Amino acid sequence: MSPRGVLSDMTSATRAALLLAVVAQACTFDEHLPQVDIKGTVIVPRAAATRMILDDRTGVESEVVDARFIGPVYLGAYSDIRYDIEAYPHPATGPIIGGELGNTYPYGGGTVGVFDFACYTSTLCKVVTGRYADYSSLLDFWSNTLDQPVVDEQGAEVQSPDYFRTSCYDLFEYTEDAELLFLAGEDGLDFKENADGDFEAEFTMWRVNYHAGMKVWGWMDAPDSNFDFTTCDPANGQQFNQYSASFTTGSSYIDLLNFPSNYIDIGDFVVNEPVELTYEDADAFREAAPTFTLVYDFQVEK
Amino acid sequence: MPRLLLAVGFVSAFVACDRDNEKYFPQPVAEYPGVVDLGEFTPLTLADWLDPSTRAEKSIYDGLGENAAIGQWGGATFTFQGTGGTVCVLVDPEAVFWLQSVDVRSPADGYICEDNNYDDGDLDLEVGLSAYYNGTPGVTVGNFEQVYEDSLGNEVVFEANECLMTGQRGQAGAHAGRATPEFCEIDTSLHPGRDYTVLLRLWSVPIDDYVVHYAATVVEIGAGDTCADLVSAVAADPECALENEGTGEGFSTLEELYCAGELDDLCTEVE
Amino acid sequence: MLRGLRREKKMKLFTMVRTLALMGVPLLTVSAGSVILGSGSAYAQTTGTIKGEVIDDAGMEVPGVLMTVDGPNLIGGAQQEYTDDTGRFLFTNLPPGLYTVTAEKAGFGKKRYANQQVLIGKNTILTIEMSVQEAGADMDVIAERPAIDTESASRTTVLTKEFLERVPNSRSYQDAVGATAGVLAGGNPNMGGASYNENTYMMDGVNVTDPVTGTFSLNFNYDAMEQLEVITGAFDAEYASNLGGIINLVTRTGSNQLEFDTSVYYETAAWAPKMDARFAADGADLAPTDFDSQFSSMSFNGLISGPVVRDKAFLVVSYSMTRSLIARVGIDLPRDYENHNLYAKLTMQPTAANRFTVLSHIQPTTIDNTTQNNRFVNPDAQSRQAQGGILASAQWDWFPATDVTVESKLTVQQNYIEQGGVPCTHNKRLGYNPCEPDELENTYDYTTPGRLGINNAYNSGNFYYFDFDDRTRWRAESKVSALDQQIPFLIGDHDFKAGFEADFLSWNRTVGYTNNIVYYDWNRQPYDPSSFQNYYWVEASGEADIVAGGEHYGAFIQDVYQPIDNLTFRYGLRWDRSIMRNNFNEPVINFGVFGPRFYVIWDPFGDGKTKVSGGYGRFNGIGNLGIAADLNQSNGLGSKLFLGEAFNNYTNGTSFNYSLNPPDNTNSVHDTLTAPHSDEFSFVGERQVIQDVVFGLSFTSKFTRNVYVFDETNVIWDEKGYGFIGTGDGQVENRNRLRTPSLSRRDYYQTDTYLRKNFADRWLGQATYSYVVSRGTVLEGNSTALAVAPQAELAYGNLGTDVRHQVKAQLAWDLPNDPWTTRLGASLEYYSGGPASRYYFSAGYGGNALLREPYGTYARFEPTYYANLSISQAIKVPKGQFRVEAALLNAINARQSETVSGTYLYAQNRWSIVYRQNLMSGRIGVSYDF
Repeated sequence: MSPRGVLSDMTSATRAALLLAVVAQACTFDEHLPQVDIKGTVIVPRAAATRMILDDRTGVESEVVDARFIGPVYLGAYSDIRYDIEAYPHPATGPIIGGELGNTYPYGGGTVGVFDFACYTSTLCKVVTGRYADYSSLLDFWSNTLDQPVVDEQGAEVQSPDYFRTSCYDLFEYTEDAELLFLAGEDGLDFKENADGDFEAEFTMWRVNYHAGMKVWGWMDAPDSNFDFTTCDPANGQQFNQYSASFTTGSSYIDLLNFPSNYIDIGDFVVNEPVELTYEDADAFREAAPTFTLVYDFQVEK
Repeated sequence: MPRLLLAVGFVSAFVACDRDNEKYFPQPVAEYPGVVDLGEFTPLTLADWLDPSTRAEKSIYDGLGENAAIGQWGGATFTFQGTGGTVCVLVDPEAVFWLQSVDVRSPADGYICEDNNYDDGDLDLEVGLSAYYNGTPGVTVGNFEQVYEDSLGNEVVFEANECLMTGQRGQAGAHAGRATPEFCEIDTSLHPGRDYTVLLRLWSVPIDDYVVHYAATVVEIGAGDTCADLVSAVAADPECALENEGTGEGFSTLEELYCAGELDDLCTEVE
Repeated sequence: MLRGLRREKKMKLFTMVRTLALMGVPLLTVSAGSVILGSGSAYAQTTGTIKGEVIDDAGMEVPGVLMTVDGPNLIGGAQQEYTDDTGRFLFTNLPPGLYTVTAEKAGFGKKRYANQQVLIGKNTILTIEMSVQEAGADMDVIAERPAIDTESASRTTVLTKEFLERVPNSRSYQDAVGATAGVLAGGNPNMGGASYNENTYMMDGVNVTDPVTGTFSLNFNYDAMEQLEVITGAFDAEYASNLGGIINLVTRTGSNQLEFDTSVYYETAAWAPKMDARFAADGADLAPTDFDSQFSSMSFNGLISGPVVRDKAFLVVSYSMTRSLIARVGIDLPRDYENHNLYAKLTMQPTAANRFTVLSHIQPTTIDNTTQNNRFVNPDAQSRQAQGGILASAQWDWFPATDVTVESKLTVQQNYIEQGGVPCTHNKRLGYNPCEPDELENTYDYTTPGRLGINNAYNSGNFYYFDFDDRTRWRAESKVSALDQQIPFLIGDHDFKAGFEADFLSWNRTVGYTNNIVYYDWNRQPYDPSSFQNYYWVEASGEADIVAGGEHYGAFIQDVYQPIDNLTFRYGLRWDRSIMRNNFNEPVINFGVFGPRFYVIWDPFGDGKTKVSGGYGRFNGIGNLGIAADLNQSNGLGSKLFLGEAFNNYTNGTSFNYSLNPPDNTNSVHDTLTAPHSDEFSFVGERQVIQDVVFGLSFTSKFTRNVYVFDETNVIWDEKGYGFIGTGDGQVENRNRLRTPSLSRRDYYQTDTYLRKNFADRWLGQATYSYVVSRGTVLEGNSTALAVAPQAELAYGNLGTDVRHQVKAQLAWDLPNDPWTTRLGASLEYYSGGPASRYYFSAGYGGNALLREPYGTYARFEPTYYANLSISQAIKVPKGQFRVEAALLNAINARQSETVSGTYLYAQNRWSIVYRQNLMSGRIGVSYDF
């Protein structure tokens, strides 16, 4: 039978299906990317959102539970997690160079919350995204819960959300609140209290280099008594020459996942049981589209 | 048809004509090879360093020319043994000692005459265990990159250079610019007696003579001391015949002499 | 009859082209959908076809009619053939221009159809009625001019020489194509929603697209163009693969008549009122500056053409020279551009079956005071750029039969750009740094301290930076066509064509600084040699060399099948094999792809006055050397950036203020790449409402996928893509990887409504309104759009080509005051504002990583529009004619013209793009021809 005969013998439906198949084949292109996005839930214990607050007026110290106490949560994917490197679970490290603890060479990572500049240098390196619904929430927390009122560059306490907004728009030349990362806006707050009284949040680790057997681990940077964080570099970030002097807006240190022990300190919460990924390769992982839960239940003590 | 052939010939000749642009590039200099190995070096003690004549006697003074191998790094290497303590490794790609970029004075003080941009070269410093050095001393210049394989078989190229200087955004692995000294402290306590390789990578040669002259040395310092302490301790020492050239006053005198073209009368060549 | 005779007489008095233009010959028009004259489509990129049939009073085919085709551009002399058994005739490979078709047979009258226009790649179809009643008569026939192309689906516009003369523009083919719907004008226009570097440029059918950048590679004499074909979509498989449009420039061929044409033009904006610069960027006004730009230019053009051997060999030689001075805002000395174009084409037809064409084109150009190196380093007039190239092509056309053509062509093109410093000059017209009498101009002075630049700024880059860039293309191609073929037992006619082509490309570039250091003046403060305030400098080590090469092979087969007279199927298949290598001879781009095309064209009433067409085509992007070589962009030994006093807040204020670009190659290619491609669906409906006037509607949707992009593989970002928290290899380096993900895509929709008046009765006119929606994730290939993973989620939005409303109108009118013809011309283009991208600072590497378009005010630029007006007057003299022209360009305007580098405006912590109004200018010109 000639090729032409083959075609003419087909039903029109068959020919249409064949054509569709050809077009579909041309339209679908699988890159077989060796990177995957890893999604899941982090759980930080209630203790991470709990502080003893002294009421100046009454002199009474009381326990306050507030998700806004939760610091940035870091996640990393590593070849292995070991328990003999530090006093807490720690990623396996590479060669020791110059006496420093070796680099962990992470495959990827992510965060729940990032440091963002809330428009005044008084809050530099203290404001984490996903923790504040609006300007009022931030002002209220600083004034009434932390008792560290937000002050503007002239030293005056910021009390009005409108003034707060104006300062931000002037500084960044923004036009909408949605452009300010530290306001949760439509995205909503990250952490929600679960049935156990702990706090949960969704996470995404963008484009992690997939290796079968790798382990996902992380820690939460708990603020110290002054509400400072060890993982924020005040000299990093956006450069400004406004106000009375030039300043940077602060940002995470750039080697947090490479040298976590440089940043983990007393009070931080570390993942004790890392999640191991056993899918054969990135394609298999994508096909399964799993989600994971990572529990930050090991509090660092020294 | 002859006209057609003529046209084709013209086109071919035009296309074949290319420019090598040689005149724009530094050329190798016979007396100063682009890749050299200086052998083993014995670190100076602090006392050696503080004495000007001993310092000059035991340190390396040499020159590097443009590497003849186009597109490949040139540079000098030498080794020293780990002392078990901390050492300071220092290179001064000093093509001319009158240099605004290392002048101790503030730029706001002003200079009498302008720098000569054309006699400045640049060397970049790297130091690491000789076992990690992947170049062939005296033949090709390498670096301290090695491959680490983790427990899952993933290979990572890592940097074993221990002389990591911090860059603009805080990243390690940056280097200073032309005619600017580079130095760093190396803790050899983990590897006493082991060979360390010092690499002076030839970044650029001056374009007036295509040779970068430099001084290099390794000095034992106490734990917690820094190279900066070392340098400031001798800043007032004479390098030529001029007193206090490392001070503001000395610089001014030096500058005046330089501008007047009288420097050669004062300075003696250090071989 | 009398009118026809009068025309013959004029032809002796005036040059052919200009005379024909005066006569109201049906010439070009412009539209989104078709060509004016002639219907049907031929298969040629430099010639056209006349075909048709002869019928008698009863509508029966008349065989044995002697058909003669003759025209001034027709080499080889008049062609004759007899109509076949079905009364049909076919003349192929006719150079574009005007022809006279004559039909005669004993027992019938003799009929002559004059002024039949042949357009590139088109069939001019005639139906000739002969009657025994007219036996013995000899008559000229004024045929109704077909205004609709009822066999073509491509969105093609052919701009004829007459159009180019009458409708005012800046006298460049790049500007002229902007008259076409779907084209966003510019030096390298965006066509059909594609990127500026995705078009194909052709000269006389030769692909002359820049092999490195995908942009145009040559300028050309405006007066030496015969026709300019602009195809914005739905093109046949024969045309080169790309994601944008095609600009095919066809040059004059010459004729049996000796023709001479010369002209001088002067254009200046000196007298124009200065309007304030408008800055509209990102929805915010940025720092305003004075608007004191100046522009003037002078051009001289000369063309001579004629027979070397009558009917056997025609020669055209053309020369043009243009010099322009452009003084930009804040720059004292003007950019001085001088371009020479020398073009020669020899066409020989020694026998009826063989035609040879040899052409060469050179275009040496110098640009003094160039600002192309770095926009924010204002030059102190000590830099010179030389550029140009040579194009040479030899073509052999063999006609083994009337309807069969075998075309073979060999082409070589080399372009060069050389940029270097000029320490001093003997050229007195350049107002900078004169050489001493015995000083050589090109001797570099290494010993003098830094030159003083604008505002006394020190920027050594002007005279130390050098760049030698050579780009070469060798191309061989061969095509076979067989037109008007019948297949046994299958009704209808076929036009078959198949071909093969091979390109061999190379790129050789060397870049560096002679002193290995360059100083930049950031804020244009006065230079204080005692400090480095407001400066930064870059120190380079060694030169950066790029040696990249590649090959491209293409093959196609196509057919135009007409089963019945008013129904046409156009279909074809194109195959492309593309291999582009990087510096290490690694094949970065390496694939073979197919591009099928299928279109249906229907003339529902069969009267040639209505057309409905539609179809599908896939167009593949075969890449260029620039994409491949991006993988070794750090190929030079390296460079360091030093920051001066003004940048202390970036640093610790020590002498260790630097960053380091790693000397090794940090780019890579993902294992799996696919060819970027567009799937285009198009629909066109046209109706001739009255004689010469067409109303049309067209709709195009084009889906482009897998555009080349880089993403970053080393940096580990936080959830917002705002800062990074680690690196894969422990080193703070960007490691970019070339990919063609499905994510990098464009969706483009264009609807055109147009009214077109073909050139006839002394005037032409056209108005097109286009509504465009252009959305996607990346417009320009090879960007770093995916550098930050979270961006990809945000990045889908309106692209730069999302200029929603586009209006284009042209009008030309020849006043009926023969022989002192006065011509009026006008053109208008209006574009509503395109979207402004908002880039915000990220703390991570590169600073500007975060793209946040979905948030905030989605600002658009102001609308832009401009209008050009012209008037010209012919003055007859005994040996020819003079024509005096005056044109007012940008007469009313708010035209975007000058793009200021985003870097320049980074000061306010955001990246912005700023456009500035074009200057109004006036142009006067005098031409003489005989």
